[in-house]
Amino acid sequence: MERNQELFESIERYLSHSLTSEERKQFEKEVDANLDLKKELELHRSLHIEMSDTDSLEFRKKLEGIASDLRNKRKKKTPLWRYAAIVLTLLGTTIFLWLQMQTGNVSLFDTYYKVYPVEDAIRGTDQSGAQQILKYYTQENYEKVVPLLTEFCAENPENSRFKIYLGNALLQTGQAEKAISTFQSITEGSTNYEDALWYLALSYIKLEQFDQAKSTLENLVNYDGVHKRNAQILQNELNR
Amino acid sequence: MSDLNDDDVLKGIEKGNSRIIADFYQKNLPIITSYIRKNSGNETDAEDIFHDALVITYQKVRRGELKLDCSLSTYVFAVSRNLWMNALRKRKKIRPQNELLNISESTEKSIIDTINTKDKQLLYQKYFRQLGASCQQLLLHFFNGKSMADIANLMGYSEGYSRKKKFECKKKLLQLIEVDPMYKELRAKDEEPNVPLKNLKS
Repeated sequence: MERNQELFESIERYLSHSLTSEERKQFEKEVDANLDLKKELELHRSLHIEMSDTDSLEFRKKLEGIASDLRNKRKKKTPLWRYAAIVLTLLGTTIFLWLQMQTGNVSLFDTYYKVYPVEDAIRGTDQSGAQQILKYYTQENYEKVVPLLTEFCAENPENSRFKIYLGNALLQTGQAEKAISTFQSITEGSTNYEDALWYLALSYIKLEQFDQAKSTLENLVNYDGVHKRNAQILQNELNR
Repeated sequence: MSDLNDDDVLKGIEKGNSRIIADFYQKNLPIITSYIRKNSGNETDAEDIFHDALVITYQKVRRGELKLDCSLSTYVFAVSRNLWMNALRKRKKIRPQNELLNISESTEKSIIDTINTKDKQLLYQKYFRQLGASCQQLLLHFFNGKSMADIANLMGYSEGYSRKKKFECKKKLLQLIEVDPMYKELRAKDEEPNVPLKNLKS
């Protein structure tokens, strides 16, 4: 049986109950008389049922991203001397921050804020715009990436991960109020909701809106996820 | 993240927390790889099977159907092992030796039952992931029940082009599925006895 757009759309309209009663009867008559059409209908029906679980597909996509990251990490095994350099740098930064904290020169924001890292690569040629965004973001070219991310998020409002990137880029360019709106637009149930709460709390701290920060941190503690411990520490700092 | 218990990990899996999932992934993939390599498979087989096992676990957690009487790692290993036994049977290879696991008979039976109902879905998903990024995105919206007008808007295409592209992507997906020997086996199973039209009707 030759597959064409018209055939697919007839089958889809049948499966989604969009045919009129007359069209439906006619279509069923054709199916009864044509074994190939019957098999085609069966295949589409099965595909629609099994693929309707789009959350699983998104989850699988995430797993593939993790697998790809792991493969890349294995390829770029860090030599021992680089580990030593990283440890020394981290140690130096920690001591510096601690000394600064003692003299009150560094805010809570600077102590706890860390730019959200790029999670995984975007694959496929159709995503070249997203690739360019991630490139600027990882290069810390925040001035350039903010308008691109703003546009991307407007076109893809369901992409919570890129909203997290946008919020971070806004924070990096001194636009904490816009960052707050961006983090607030990530709704509960979204994959990055917990990260959004964490950065929202930090954004409030940045603007010295401590009551809102405390309330957001309380939500984060109740969420009971990966940021819970840091949220509790930050709560204690704010209550000092 | 190493101090997370199974409940934390399950919560992370349910919510799609990338860091928790990645942590669990890194700890458990080598165990599955070692088992599959010992039993006629390679690293790619191990990754595919492990992903299928994690998807099954994710679906069960999300539906509140996962009652663990063993560790989460043991459960995922048991799902992977059963998936691999099925794959070997389909490839007409010898069944691997059953490794002793600290897992109850009822959990083992529940795993086998779940896998038997997931054959088609895992197969369809495997080929869906081989489509190009834009095809995947468009079909995701379509299978999610979005109208063609909404899809056109989301994808930045005209409605006419969206329809044409949806047809091409779906056709490609069906072609990929149909050449897999496992699809033929599943189809043969479905056709015995012949399914009357009334069962096909939506």
